[in-house]
Amino acid sequence: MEIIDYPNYNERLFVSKLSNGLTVYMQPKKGFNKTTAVLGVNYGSIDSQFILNGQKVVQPAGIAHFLEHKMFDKKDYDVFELFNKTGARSNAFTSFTKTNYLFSTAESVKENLDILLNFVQIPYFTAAKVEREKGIIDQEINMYQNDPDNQAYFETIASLYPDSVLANDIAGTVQTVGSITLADVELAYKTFYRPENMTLFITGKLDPQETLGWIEANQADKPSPEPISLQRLENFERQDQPTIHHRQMNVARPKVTLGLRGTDPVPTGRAGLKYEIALSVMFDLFLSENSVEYDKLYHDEIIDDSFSWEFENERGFHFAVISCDTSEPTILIDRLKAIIKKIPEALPSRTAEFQLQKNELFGNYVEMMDSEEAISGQFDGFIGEPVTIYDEVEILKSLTLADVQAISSDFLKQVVMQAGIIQDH
Amino acid sequence: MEFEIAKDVHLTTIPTTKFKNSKIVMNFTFPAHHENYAKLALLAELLENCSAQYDSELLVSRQLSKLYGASFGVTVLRYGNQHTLQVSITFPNDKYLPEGEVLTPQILAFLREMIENPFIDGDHFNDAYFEIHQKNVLNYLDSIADNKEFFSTLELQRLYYPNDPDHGHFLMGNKAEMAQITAKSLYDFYKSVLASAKVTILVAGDLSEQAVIDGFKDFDSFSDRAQAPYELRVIPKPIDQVQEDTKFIEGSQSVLSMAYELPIYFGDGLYFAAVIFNQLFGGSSQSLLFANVREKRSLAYDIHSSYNSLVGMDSVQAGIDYQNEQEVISMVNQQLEQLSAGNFSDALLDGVKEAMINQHRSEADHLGALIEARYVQQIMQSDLSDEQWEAQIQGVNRDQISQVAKQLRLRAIYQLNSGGQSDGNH
Repeated sequence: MEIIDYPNYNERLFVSKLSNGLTVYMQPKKGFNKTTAVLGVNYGSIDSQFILNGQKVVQPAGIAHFLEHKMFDKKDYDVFELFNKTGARSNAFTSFTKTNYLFSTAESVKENLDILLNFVQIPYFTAAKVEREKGIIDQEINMYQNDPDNQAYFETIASLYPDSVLANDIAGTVQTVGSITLADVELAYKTFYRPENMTLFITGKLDPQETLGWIEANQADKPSPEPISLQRLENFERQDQPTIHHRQMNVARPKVTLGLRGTDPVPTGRAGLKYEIALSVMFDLFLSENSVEYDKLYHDEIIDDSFSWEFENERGFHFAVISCDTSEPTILIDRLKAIIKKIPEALPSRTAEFQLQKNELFGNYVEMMDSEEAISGQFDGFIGEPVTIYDEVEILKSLTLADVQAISSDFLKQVVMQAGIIQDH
Repeated sequence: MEFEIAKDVHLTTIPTTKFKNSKIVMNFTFPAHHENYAKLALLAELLENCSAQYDSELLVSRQLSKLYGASFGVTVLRYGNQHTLQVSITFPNDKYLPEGEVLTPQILAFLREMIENPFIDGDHFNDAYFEIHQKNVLNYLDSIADNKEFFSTLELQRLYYPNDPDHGHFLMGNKAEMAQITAKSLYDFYKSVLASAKVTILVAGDLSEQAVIDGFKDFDSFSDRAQAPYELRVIPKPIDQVQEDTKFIEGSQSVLSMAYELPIYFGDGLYFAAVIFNQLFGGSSQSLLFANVREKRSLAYDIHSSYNSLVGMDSVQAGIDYQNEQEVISMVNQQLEQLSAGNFSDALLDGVKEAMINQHRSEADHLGALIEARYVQQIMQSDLSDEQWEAQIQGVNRDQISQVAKQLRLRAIYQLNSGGQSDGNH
């Protein structure tokens, strides 16, 4: 077992790669009562097209999310029943690139780990069960479509990546979900739910040696899947001319989004994290409440507290989405574009603001260190080397304004922007 | 430890070395009257964003960055009949900061500045500052309709308390009330809140108790005050018939909301049974509503119930297809009948108890939850230890659950109806 020390924060990470390929990460938290475990599969909504053993496969949009639902449904019980017996809380979610299954509990950790590993690694699919799930997922899709903020976000991503797997909602549509068959589900499972394509991250109350022993014993009787040759198809070729996309929906005030699609190559591992943190700092310096640009937009009454931005850097793509409710949609879009345009020129003089922003982000990381949800949620085991929040905070500490300049210059030079406005009749 | 800064200004410290951060929560409280709702909500907004020294939102934000990204917020809450202005701040412990940094006195000075030195001109809040935030809150009130579940929850509450605005009104008031407030009237209100509200401060973390006491003793406004005791529990007025309302919307889904009167309150003999009843009804992923309406019949993705033990209410909400409204309503009532009849397995009941105890133990891992639990104990004058709490949960039996279920009386149904816009079921 490899041990990574974080003396500044009095924390440690234990890493062990099992013989079947599953990697286990353990980050004990002294004094905590609760244990949180996340079993992550490197498989998300964008993985609906791939080449398996030389053959191209195209699956219906929403298949990864559908599979997540199906994992809970066993022959004559629901997995929630098992977690209920131990009193643990369990949940699962699917993103563009990952499916995560998790539980948190203050007792019976071994039993809960067995439940988690077994329900994800021992599937039970039938045609009837596949059909029955569709009704619930339709209701879930309808719930998202009823939410204008959710629609604004996903439609902006669709306009940034037209005709691609990213243009679909994570759950798919009522039509694509309707077309999912038992064979689709089985094929997706066999292709992606493989130990070498999964990680188990555990934090909170735990003894690493004892916990690893439980996991090894659990994995010993799991069959090893046949080797496969898999090529993911992350195909984001098409780029449209920048424009404003309009959509009519019943909303109180217009909802504006501005999407920024990065087309520069992003490194993996630690360097990738540095890239992400640098771009976050860049956005903060021009669009957070600490910036004069935000202050001006706010006092000109173009934006209010509904303003937010978020930056996503995932396998094969990275983008930012800025959004706000406003009575002045076109003015806001123009002003945001003007701010972004002047970033390269304005950035070098922001030395004091840069230090202040680092100070703030540093404190935000320390705040996250008290939360098992944040520690496990921030962890990504699929980027070649383990990077925890304790690593991220060190990357932040050593970040210079010159780093931010260089990284943002690469990003902004080739960025593609698409705007969206959702408004009433 | 407990300290009295002045009469009815109370400080509780919860020392712990488990966390890397500390948290301070200040509650300013008085009896709930709807005339104050809009005012207190706008006041929270004005106290959060500027002060005399930091006279722009930008300066407050940058000061918080200097304080290592301390999370600061001012908000309004209601605990039964208690109206509450809550100020909170979370900040990292000194040992993780650069050598020699001592943050607690700076945090307390910041709190004092934000609370005691608001951004005023003479006898009123700064006009430009006041107007922009009043406008923003008005816009926020409008935007609630975009969040259909939350909008429905507020409409359900309005229906539940006919002719009773103290309880039926939204905690932030309505647009008309908000628009009427002036920079002068709000400043007068602010002064009365500071002079007369009962103040309860809770501090949890690894910090110097003396620095905290000294910091709060520096507050000029913390003079003696006396608040007459009042009933925290909300007892709804009797009604003749179930209150119903429907609003038609354009949308892909209908939201069904139902509220039941459940006259069992925190501290009552059946309180623990009511908590467990709610978990069995719709409060967990093993509940009858989840298992039957969602898993068996696929009528909803989201269906859940919640119990408020200070207002004696249990409510159900579900996102459904509009054609299924009657079917879902009758299924909800069927699940209630099953619980009244005691038709549920021992395994389910035991599991729910396990889950409650498990969650209770997990709460100790969150600074915020630790403070909240202590505060609720204080206002409810309860001194149950963790062991006693667990024993109470363990002691709940089938018969008590059934007794609780029999006491539910449907009082209000609100339907946000997407009438025909939906794509329909398979």
